[in-house]
Amino acid sequence: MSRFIHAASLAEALAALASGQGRVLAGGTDLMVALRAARLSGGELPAELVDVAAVPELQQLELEGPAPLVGAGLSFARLAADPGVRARYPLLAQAAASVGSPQVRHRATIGGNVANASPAADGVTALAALGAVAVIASAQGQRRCPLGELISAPYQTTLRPQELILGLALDPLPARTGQVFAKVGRRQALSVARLNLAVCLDERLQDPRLALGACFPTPRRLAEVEALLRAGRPGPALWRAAGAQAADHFTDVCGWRESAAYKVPAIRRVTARTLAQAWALLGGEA
Amino acid sequence: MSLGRSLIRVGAEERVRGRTVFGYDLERPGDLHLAAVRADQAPARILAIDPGPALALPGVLRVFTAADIPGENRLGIIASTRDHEFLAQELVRQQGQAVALVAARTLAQAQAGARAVAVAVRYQPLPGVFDPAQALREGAPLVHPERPGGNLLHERRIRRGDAEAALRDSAVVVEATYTTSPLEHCALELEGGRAEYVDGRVVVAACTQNPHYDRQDLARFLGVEPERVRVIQAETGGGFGGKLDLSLQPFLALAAWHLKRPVCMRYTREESFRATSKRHPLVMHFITGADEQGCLTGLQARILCDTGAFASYGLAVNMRAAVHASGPYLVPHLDVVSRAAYTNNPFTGAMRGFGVPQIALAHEGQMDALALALGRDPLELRLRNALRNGQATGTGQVLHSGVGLARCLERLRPIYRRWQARAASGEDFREGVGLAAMFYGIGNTGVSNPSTAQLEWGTDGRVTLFTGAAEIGQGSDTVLRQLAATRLGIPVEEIDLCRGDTDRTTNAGATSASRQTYISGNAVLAAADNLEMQLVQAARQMLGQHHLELELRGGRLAAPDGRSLAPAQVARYLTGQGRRARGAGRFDPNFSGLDPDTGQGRPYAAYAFAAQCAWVRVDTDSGLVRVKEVAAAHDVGRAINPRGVMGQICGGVAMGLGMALMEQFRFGQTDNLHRYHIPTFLDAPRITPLIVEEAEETGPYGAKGVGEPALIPTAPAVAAAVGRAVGRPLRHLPISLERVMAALTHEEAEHAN
Repeated sequence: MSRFIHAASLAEALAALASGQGRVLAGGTDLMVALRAARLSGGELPAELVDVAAVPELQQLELEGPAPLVGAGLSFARLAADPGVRARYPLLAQAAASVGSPQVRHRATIGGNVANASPAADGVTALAALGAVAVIASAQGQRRCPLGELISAPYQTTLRPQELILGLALDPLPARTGQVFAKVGRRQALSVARLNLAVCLDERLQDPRLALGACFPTPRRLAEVEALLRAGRPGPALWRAAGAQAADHFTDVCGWRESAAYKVPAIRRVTARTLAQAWALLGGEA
Repeated sequence: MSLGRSLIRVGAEERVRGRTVFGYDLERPGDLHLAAVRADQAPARILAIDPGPALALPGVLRVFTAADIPGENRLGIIASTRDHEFLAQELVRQQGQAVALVAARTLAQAQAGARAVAVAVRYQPLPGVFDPAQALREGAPLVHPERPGGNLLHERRIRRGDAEAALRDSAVVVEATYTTSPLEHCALELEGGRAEYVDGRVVVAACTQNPHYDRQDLARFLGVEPERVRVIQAETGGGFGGKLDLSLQPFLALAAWHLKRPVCMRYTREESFRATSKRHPLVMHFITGADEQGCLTGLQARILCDTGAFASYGLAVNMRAAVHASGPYLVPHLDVVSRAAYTNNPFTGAMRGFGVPQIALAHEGQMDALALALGRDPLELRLRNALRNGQATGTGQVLHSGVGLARCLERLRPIYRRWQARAASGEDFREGVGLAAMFYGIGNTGVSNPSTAQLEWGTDGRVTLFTGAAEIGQGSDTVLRQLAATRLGIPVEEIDLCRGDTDRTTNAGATSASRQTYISGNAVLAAADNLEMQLVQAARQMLGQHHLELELRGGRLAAPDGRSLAPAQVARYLTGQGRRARGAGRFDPNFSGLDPDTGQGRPYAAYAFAAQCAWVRVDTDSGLVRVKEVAAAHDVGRAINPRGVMGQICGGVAMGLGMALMEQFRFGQTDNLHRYHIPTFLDAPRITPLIVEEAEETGPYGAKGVGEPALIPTAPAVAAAVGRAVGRPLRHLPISLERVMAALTHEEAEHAN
């Protein structure tokens, strides 16, 4: 039986985690499933569960200014509905809206999505495109860690047991961007992404961003594709070339496994389409 | 008059308010808890089971193994193929088979005990066979080594005319192989129940589709007379065939029998996936011919069913697949061979449609292939070949009435045409409209499957209907009361129900094969006839007028001169004589067995017919299929409760959509609702149910059945629509993202060449 600790503040949460025996409970949509499986299989349960759902410091949302920050405790329902997120980071709002079901979205948090580190995490793909850096707190103080370093492998992070993700710092973006999050699942809801993609284009293609999930050990930005976009002339030919390059990158990283027969054409086509949609949002020709 | 009225279902309010007590909810304080120990490998020989470590744990009272079964370990509903060992005797034939059962004071203790036993079982691995075609080859490992006949569970041939010659002389012949996947029922309620030992008897209350069968097999299991077992059907939250086989009832009965204490047991969702039957995956090779006018000439079909490690309903599925291979069409020459093979895969059994949803994929795929080859419209081609009253099925059975397929197709025609005209295509999507038809024999195949019922007029004026027919959400409680009320001429509210308790009701057969409205409905009408006769006789005695003409009209016994008498008064008279006003009825469909060699015969007394069309949109970038619309025209003979019929149709379409697009069971991989995808509300299309009433002359007020037909045409209709959209037929279910993408890229590759 685990000890349950309800943390009312960040200080309480960090004090509770200081022993290194605790597991952070936020929305619980991943953790409770894992705990049930552990209980049924006779596996080990954490000594302490530290409930951080009520910690006010995790609920920050700062979108304007030079250092935008999304609190780790914000639910997907909140991110999907928040007018500021929808205006400044619409791809994050779209990713949030694509997660699970209404019940899941009301519980699940963006910080939990990062900490769970699923290769198909919709929130993580969106955050990757936005250059997210995790702000991590412990009783010893704070540190910042880029998402790509924090998530080290499928379902593995470099978070220490005493640490808690406080929030995700996002890159400030130009005033006008075209952002689209695309997800392919096996059904319309409650579906793990077979493929997800986050695209953010600016008017001059100076800082195009493209992240792909459910294809690699962890969702990642595709630097080569972004370079291609920066160098090219916007239009259908460029989007197709970018799609082809994204698919090539997938086979380079993952080799030709069975799933590639689907993934390669899907990555190619969905990437091209998503880029066209993002460009169209800027008033450009699709 | 309650016939044809959309009365609110019995029990609907309790369900909506969350008050219904399901089998899963029966636990009472002080009950012992049971947990099964399931094999994690198969096939294997059990070398030893050491209960010691489990018994040393707190709260663990007992570990049962096969040696503790007082009676027969091998159970199964089909008497000739009883082979399901509820606790593995010596061989584990499939993964997930139970090898031991732990009883403990709490659920957690029982689960801990089961884990302790699980690691204390020593197995010797054995070579297995996991493909039905390989299972039938010489030298394949035998799933039941002691069984004569090897891995072949059953073979059914249907021969009529000369199919070979007919195909040779046909203007067009199409040939293709179709396959389907094992599926899980995913009833909302997981298996649950409770048992106690009362005065030398075991009383088992659990979710089930067939309480009277359960009692027979539980008595066999315990080695006692059936009188010493009482089964009470608990409120059952869906079955779809998954609760036809015994599930946890033998465990409950065994523990209560030995421990003489109340016990309860529940499956987790994972255990339900691993321990219960699945839908048979079929491999169907079809060669179909037609003449220039598009009339079917002949069919040669070879069908292979994987029945897994136990027979369950395999024989019934195999028979139905063969009988329905022709589809609802006039096929003069047939040569069908269907075989079911044992493998070490999870056992397969009954699931909504018993093989017909699978076989419909093949016969409808063939109709579309013929339409393409002949340049004919798929709907008109089906209409041309649709069975009509007076024509014979593939088993040579002449259908005298109730053949409503043409009417179903005609109801669909305007919708089908409108959707065809509106189906669009764009840069990244293509739409298609597909059509499929079916027929379905009501009741069990070529065997007696009677139902019985009783109606009692109480001295207080209320009537009680006694039925063994399991209500599992399909609506029989409501429909049977409507039929009784109509026949007795009283409001349905005046009828009470006593259902599913083997001490108080008699056998109605299984809630399966879409049979309860037709068969139990007729049994209820027969009981009403019998009740009327008894009331009339008693009234004559009571009045001392032995030749008085009386009949039950408007709920009263009426004489031609206008006088009338309340039946309750007669009931009171009978009570005074130590008798009761109780009528009994029985109905067994008029059938004949199939000829062992030619398969000719009269397997069912009545058939339901249906046609559905589907409009889909395929995302050509991702391969994602979205079903926009489904229209479903069902000939139900007579809709006793139209809303109930529409509910069945909408539910069937949603379930069929899962079969079409996403469902596939793989042991250890897709054995929870996270991995095994069924459609969500967002996946459901707009559904237009259309009720067609082509009366079946032997049906209760013309009624047939709809429970399984509702699902059967959906997958083939969706497959046809996707095929139309992507320009290639899709012959394998589910039509996954990968299969759609393969069809799309194949087309691209063809263009490139």
